[in-house]
Amino acid sequence: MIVLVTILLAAAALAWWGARRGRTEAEFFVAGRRAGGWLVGIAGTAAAVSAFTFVGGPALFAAAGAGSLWIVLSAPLTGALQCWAVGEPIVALARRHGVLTVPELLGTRFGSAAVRGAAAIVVLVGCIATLAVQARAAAVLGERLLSVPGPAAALVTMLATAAYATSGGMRVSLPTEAAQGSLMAAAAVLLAVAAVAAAGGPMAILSTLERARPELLGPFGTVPPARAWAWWMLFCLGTCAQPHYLQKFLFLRDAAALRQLPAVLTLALAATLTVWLGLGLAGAALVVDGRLSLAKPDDLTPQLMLLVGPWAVVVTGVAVLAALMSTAASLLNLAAAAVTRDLPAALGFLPLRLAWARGVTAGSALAATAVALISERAVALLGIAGWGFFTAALLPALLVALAWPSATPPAVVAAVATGGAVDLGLEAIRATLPPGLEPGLAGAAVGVLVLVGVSFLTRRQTPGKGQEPWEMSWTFTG
Amino acid sequence: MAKNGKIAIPGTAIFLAGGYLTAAIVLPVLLPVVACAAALTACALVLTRRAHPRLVRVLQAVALWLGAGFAGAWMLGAHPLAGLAWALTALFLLPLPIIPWLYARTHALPPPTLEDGGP
Repeated sequence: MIVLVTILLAAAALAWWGARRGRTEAEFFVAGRRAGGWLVGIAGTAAAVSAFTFVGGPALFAAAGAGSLWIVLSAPLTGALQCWAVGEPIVALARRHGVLTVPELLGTRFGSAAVRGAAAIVVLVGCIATLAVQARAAAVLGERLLSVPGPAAALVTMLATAAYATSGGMRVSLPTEAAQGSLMAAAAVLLAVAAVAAAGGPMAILSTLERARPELLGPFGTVPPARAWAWWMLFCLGTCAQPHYLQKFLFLRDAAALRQLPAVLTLALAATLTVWLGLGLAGAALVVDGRLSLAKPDDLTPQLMLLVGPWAVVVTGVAVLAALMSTAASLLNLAAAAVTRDLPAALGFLPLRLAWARGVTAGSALAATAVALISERAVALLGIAGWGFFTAALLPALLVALAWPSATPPAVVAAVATGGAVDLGLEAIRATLPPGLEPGLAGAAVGVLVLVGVSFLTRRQTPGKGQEPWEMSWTFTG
Repeated sequence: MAKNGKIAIPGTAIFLAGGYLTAAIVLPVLLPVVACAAALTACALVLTRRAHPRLVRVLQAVALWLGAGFAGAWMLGAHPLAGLAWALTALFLLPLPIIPWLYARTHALPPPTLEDGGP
């Protein structure tokens, strides 16, 4: 309970500080566009890492072994990949056109309100769904780690986040996320070392697992190799389609700040991911030894931390809440931008005033918390579905269409709609799918085929001299 | 490069999208090849904006790392400790500092000179 009260007090202080800062749209939505690579990199990692890393990841390792690591093995590449594939063009477009949101960026690139509207709908749906996951995770983990009633933990976490996100927008959320990211990385390393020590050290853990559960230690663990490759691909390419990742590129003061961004992203992510491996290995060995007994896989982290000591339970609780709040703050801002800027613009209206954005931020937090408290889906599965939905709907537009001058607005809208629909349809029958067929990847693949096909069915006029590809007009053929 | 991109980008995108769906449904043994090719192609989009020879060499190094890493994991599938060590070392720890460093080294390269193999 002391942790929750501390969070509320800190949030109130941040809200007071933020009330005097996030007064313009640029301050509220892109933190004034003055941030450097270090701040954006650490904040970006904090927004990217959810409670799944601390709870779902180690549980998955204990159940599926090293095969679970294929979700995170692309981490050394993803920082550079994001900058090469989407970061550099996003920074250039944002500086040139002064855009404040990812849907606005796509709309500007294609000169199309429909593209902006389609992207905004995807961002809004995905953000509310993922926010509900965060609130649900806060309820479950608050109960298990901090021994407080679940609804109270969810309400405090979401309301505290909404308080500073509402008053100061990203002007306050960005430095707060960076502080939360630093805390998460330090906690992750500390908890991983403590868990491995509690299990007798790395050699004892490996010896135990090699003797009793050798199948966990192979490069694919108990996961079918096809699923492991599909996970690697989904979580590698998917980083180029997550709006809360791409939003951070809009905050950079200039393209030069990109230079150190992959190093910061990779370092912060690697530090945070140590908890996945450390707790997973230690937990699996302790289960084999009979020192831990789990009713369900997600019990691993709370049970293991109880074994390490009361301090570890509190540190884990704080790190998990930091992970939840940092992700939620970015998602709240994205949802507010979609409702107050992108959707009105797509419908031909002027953007709503900043007061509306503050209202939508608070309303989104309340709506997501309400949904979360009646949702029963597992945290881990919901987390993967949110990532997959963004990948399926936005990857064709952001990776292919952004770089391809001949992509047309109707094709982008069709790709966004088809990709998202295929992902949701396949999620409904996930249990019957072949192991290598990830709904998010399948949706993105179908979206790419639709993008190219519809683009060839529509004709674009040749651009005039000095005209940018995204300033060209387009017409349907036939 | 921009002209080539008009054909190369949709052509490669169709090939990889179709390749993924085919591999995932009927030929899962091809998935590591598709995964490697898709990641590399996404990185190579940078060449549509600045095709510097040094950047091409960096992408070749990334291709070599991914190919060796995936092949090693595949070959060590039946070896518990060696498999885990390979996945963690070759695919995670070793490239962790190198790839961001390579990005920083090739960030905002000047136009290629004759010495670089440029025009």
